[in-house]
Amino acid sequence: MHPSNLLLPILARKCLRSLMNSNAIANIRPTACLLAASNCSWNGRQEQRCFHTSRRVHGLEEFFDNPENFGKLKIRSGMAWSVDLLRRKSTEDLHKLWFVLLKERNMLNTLEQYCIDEDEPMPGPDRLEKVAESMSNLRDVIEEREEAKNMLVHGTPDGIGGEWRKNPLGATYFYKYKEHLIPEHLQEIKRGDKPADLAYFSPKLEEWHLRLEEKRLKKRGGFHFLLATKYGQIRARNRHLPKKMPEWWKRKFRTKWLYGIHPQMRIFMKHHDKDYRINSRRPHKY
Amino acid sequence: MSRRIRIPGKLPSVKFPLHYEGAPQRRLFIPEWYITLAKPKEKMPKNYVRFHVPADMTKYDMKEYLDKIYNIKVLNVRLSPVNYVRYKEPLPWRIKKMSEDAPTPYQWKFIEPWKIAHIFLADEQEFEFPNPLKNEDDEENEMKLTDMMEAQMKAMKPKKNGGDNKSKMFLENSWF
Repeated sequence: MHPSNLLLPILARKCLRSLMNSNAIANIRPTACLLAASNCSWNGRQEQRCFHTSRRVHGLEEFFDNPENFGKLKIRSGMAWSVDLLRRKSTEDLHKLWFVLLKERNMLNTLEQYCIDEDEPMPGPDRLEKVAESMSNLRDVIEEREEAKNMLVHGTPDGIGGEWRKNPLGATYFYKYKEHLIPEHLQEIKRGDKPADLAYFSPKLEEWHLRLEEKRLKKRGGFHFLLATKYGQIRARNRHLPKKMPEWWKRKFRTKWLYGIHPQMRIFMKHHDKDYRINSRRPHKY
Repeated sequence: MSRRIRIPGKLPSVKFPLHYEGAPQRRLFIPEWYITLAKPKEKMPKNYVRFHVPADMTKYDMKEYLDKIYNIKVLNVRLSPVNYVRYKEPLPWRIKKMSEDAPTPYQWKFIEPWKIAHIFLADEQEFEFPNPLKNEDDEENEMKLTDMMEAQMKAMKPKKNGGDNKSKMFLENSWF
């Protein structure tokens, strides 16, 4: 067994000290990655150049701050990561940054709990807010990217497709595809999602639908009857008009289908109908 | 069998897709679980570590978390939930009473629950909770403390200038 394996997990103060001085174990707090303006207690690292962006430190030391910061009453920290800064990074970098922030947050949580237990003020409480803010910004950026990708590929922000369907009662609704116990590529017996017209059927429902249609036809029939009578009255006053109703006149009474209904339009308007003229002026009232 | 705590609106905050045979391993791209290391007041074995953990987590989540993120090998994990309590919140402004004997309208509510994780470290590892508010190089500070004490003792001694009687009178006040 390599001797360093024995040393690393043990958190004795002397061991930490020696490890800190040697170059075998890296600096525990890579503060330059964390916050935009870093702490000043990091000058020794600038000489070394490493290929990896972060070094793994083993053990529970990561739940505590740099031992040089123990005992300080004020700790200075830089700004939180803003959304603009994070949008410039690749998803890989963001993923790494997330875990760096997560470890920092855990460290700050332990410090906060310790201070609450000992009834002492926490050094640098604004750090928690900054870390939380940067984490939420990171999450927003990643969600943005995922939604954009889903919109391009599937057409929905979730990536879950859907379709318009009709209720048993005839109303339309948007059905989102649900998760199946057994995924489609493993199903031997394909039990697809049956649309509601077939899934729920009874003779009472059919009768109800037929009666509703009858009512609709009656209304429609009545509508045409009224139009015809009106045209008849107009034609009585103006004999030059054709027998058949012109299309441009019918279109005037067209209604817009909104929210599943045709609004009731008045065909006979008494105070307008007496003055209904085609190509003639109203006689002046003396 | 470990189960996740369910509170209809809030928990569990992460919902995984249904599992089937041959499915790929469950992965979280961004785990939103934050842990605090707590110092137990009782005396515990050197192997022992205590965490305060969100109510979403299970034993296996805890083990994977420590293994993958912190590279800590773990012998045993035990979780105990805290504040998993339901209580009635009375809503006296709601007018739903049918008779005078009916009880006042209420709503069931949950206190925010969380869990304590009792963990034993593997491979004969030991952990001692350090004091993050105390510096190791405190010898100079100790000297300063003793100097301060001496200065205070000197100040307490009575002065030989005028005003002696007044101070004596104040000190010998029988009221206090």
